[in-house]
Amino acid sequence: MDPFYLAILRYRQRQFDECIALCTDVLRKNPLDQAAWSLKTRALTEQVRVDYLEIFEDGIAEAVFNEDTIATAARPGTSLRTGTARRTASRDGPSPAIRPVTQSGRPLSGVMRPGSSASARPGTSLDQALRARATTARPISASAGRHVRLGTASMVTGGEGPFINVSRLNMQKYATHDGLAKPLFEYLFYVENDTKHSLELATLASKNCSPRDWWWQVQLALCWLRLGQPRNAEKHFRMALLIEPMLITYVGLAKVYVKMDQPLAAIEVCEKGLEKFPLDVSLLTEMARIQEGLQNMSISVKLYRDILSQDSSNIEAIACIGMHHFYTDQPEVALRFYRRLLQMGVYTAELFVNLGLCCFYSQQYDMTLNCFQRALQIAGNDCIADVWYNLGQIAMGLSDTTWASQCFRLAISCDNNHAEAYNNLGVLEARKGRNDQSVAFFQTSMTLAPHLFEPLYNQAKIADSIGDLQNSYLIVQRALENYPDHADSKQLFDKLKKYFETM
Amino acid sequence: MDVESNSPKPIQTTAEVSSAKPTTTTTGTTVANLKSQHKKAELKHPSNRNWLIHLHYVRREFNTCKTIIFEELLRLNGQSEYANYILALIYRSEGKMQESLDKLQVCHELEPTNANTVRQIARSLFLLGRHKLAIDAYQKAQLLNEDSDAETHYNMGMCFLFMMDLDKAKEHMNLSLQSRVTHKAFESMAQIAIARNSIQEAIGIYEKAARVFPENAEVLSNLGVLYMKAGRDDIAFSRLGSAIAFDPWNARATVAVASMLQTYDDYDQALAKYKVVMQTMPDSASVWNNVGMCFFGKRKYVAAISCLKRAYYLSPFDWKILHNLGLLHLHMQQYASAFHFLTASINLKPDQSHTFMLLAVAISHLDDVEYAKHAYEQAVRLNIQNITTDPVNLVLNYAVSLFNHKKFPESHQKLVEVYNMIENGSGVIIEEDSKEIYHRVKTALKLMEFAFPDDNDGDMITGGVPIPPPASQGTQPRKRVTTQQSVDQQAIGNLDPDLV
Repeated sequence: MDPFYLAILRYRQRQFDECIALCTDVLRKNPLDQAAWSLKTRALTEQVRVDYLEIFEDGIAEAVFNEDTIATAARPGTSLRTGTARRTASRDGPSPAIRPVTQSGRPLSGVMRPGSSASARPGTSLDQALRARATTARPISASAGRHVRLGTASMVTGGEGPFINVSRLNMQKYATHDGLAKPLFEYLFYVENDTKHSLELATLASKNCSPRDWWWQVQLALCWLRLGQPRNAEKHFRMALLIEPMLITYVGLAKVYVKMDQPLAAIEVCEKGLEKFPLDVSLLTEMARIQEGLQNMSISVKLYRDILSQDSSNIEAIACIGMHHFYTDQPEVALRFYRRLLQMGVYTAELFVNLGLCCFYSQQYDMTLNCFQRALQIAGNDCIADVWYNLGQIAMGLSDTTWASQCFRLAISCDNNHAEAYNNLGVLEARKGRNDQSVAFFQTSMTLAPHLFEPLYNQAKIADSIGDLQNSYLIVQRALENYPDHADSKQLFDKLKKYFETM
Repeated sequence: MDVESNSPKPIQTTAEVSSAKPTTTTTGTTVANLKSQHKKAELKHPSNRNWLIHLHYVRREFNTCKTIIFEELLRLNGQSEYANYILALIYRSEGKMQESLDKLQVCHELEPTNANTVRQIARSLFLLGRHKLAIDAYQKAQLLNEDSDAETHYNMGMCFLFMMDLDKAKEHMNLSLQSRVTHKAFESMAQIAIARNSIQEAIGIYEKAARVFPENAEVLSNLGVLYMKAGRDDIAFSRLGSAIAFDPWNARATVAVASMLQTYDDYDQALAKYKVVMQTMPDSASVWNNVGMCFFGKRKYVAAISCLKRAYYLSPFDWKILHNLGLLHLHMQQYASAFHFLTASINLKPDQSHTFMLLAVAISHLDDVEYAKHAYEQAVRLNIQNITTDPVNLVLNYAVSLFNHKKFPESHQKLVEVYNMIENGSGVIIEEDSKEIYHRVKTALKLMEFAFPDDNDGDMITGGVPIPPPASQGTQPRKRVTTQQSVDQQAIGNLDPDLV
């Protein structure tokens, strides 16, 4: 059989290693075989290819030193970064007292995805951004760090030195040949992670091709996005849309607007995309995420339901709807969604924890502890603390304070930065009347997670009760910053204000 | 700035910020005289911009005020008493206590005889929680200023109150009231009375306060709540009503009125009131609990459960909510869930006989007679120490449970006990449905030839048809409406079932 035909077959079967080996043989015989070269390039790319737009995420440095945002003090409902819970009037869905919030003051989402928990508010210090608990699983360096890592990993599998010597490439020559330029570009972009050279190639190629090609415009935009220039990326995406409206262009443009913190523009783009591609899942997902970030819970859940009617096994949609039901006092309904996830073969500790909690709150007591046991068995290092923490909640539900405090202590021993566990330990200590210890716990919790209002309120309350009005006054103000509608904090603040304003 | 012959010098005489007005005192210089010394005066006179500082301060333009003060202090090498004083007040309302205290010390050094400065120092110390030092300072202020001052006494009283020295606190509050009548002092007096567990005294104090301040919603609502605690619902209702009339958004009074309506089974009205309160306190566990019990009263069990669940989520350590949840699940015939909630409630508060009785009912439905008996015994034991449950209901429930588990002799014994209680206890009032159940069980037992001391009715035995044993587990105890006005639950970090 013709070895090149076999290589193509292997490529189609997605057996890239064999394909590469066959291509290497062909190239050894005839180093100028363009077809084999192009196929090998594509196989190498496919091995490491990821959906760049999906994993695209601001690094911490970018989030903190961000300059793309237009308004530093955006109007409510027009920004994903001006944190804190909104006023009751415009909020839709459960309050922060019911549904926990992330560091940026957004409601906790049903799935962990890039940007769902990290996006720091402008003004947060780098120190705080680094300490965000949800980011423990990821490398802390900026996004470039990950790409470098992926790149080096692919090198190892390739063995025997690099396949293409990037620095000696004659870009001009390759750019004229469309069939070679496209695989080469992807190789440079995904395997080598050489954004500079891939940008160069894409620029030359887009100039050369006579009917203008939307594909090159999109690739140019991706390059600019990776270089952290969303404005240029937006230009190229727009151009690509003029040439030919494609799905990836709409998604990319939406991402660009999210990066520039213009969620409303992003939603508009998605809506335009939906006119061309009705009921497309990726566009709907994008919209649902943005609406969730804007705290329009009912719209977000409706969009997720639309997704489910298209793709009834979309994990993100199921998890988010389940989460929504859990926090709106319908644990029974949430249980159904999480069970569906289990049936689909998702087998993670987080899922079992969620199942356990739903069981507990819908009074299926026999299942609760089983779920937690399973969760503890399969939990990895990154989520074991959360499992213990939630088990502590169950213990509190059973009013077994000793057990609860043991659970919270275990949670802390697994993750030193577990602010919620510190807070709850503080509450348990305060119940025993040990104010000093509880204040220490609240303080730890406060420094670890400045976005929570609970430790602040608790500490203010204790300070007030022992007569340390000054501290109480200062702390309750910070609690109100985090959650301006908290009735108890407001009451305490009004009471203390009288002391401080009269003479 | 045009300088006239007057150099305004604000003098702080009264206690309130708003009432502190700059009083102008004329200096002896004539206009002509001054014009010649114009430049000199502007440079030298230490208080010629005080009026500006005062103006900005009373307008709460703190930033502008601070800029001017810093200029002044720079010009006068920090020797201006008034500038330092206002700066201290601004720092205090910004919460920077230590800086404020430092500035006040400077003022004190500049003019050691000023009683007002000493008082402000004392106040700073009080706000910092150093009550002993604050009291010393107040005493010093009193030495400097002979006439008795209501504020000083009130503040000293507050210090003593925080130090839990109730007698002295009361003494100072009294002195304060003698020199000037304020509702704050009345309120503190009432607080002291409550701390000593004498509600009657507190009511007396508030009554006096209400006579002096008939339109103060705070005083009226506190008074109403106290009357409620004392069981005088009629007066409580009128007081709370007038409190709401003066301040329709007073959450405390509204909740109290609603919970009273609830005890008189006017659930729709109560729910309407709670709806109003919900606007201001959306996360209050006690309000959610009461709303849940309203729905329970209206026999809308699902709504009731979801309200109570939310209350429980917000405040997991409140035994009353758990107790109510247990009661509701008993009604829904979900005995295992009821058992769970009741044990949780008992874990938190083990001295409530009522909870134990409900637990016993739940256990008896779960078919464990022995444990049910233990629970009943415990309930009876606790009820002797501290009567919280109607003893007739308790023993009657005991009898019914035993009867349902076919322990007829023991059941008979308990029923006789009930009979004795009804006959002997003059004040015992039995509800209609308890009475009916009592008679049904008695008839059934009579058919099994158990003798009762009052066998003179003779009307029950009709042929040989045995009457079926009562299907329901006897008297469901009256629902307990928790009327918790003081919202003192602590927020707990919520669960986070995150990510999949």
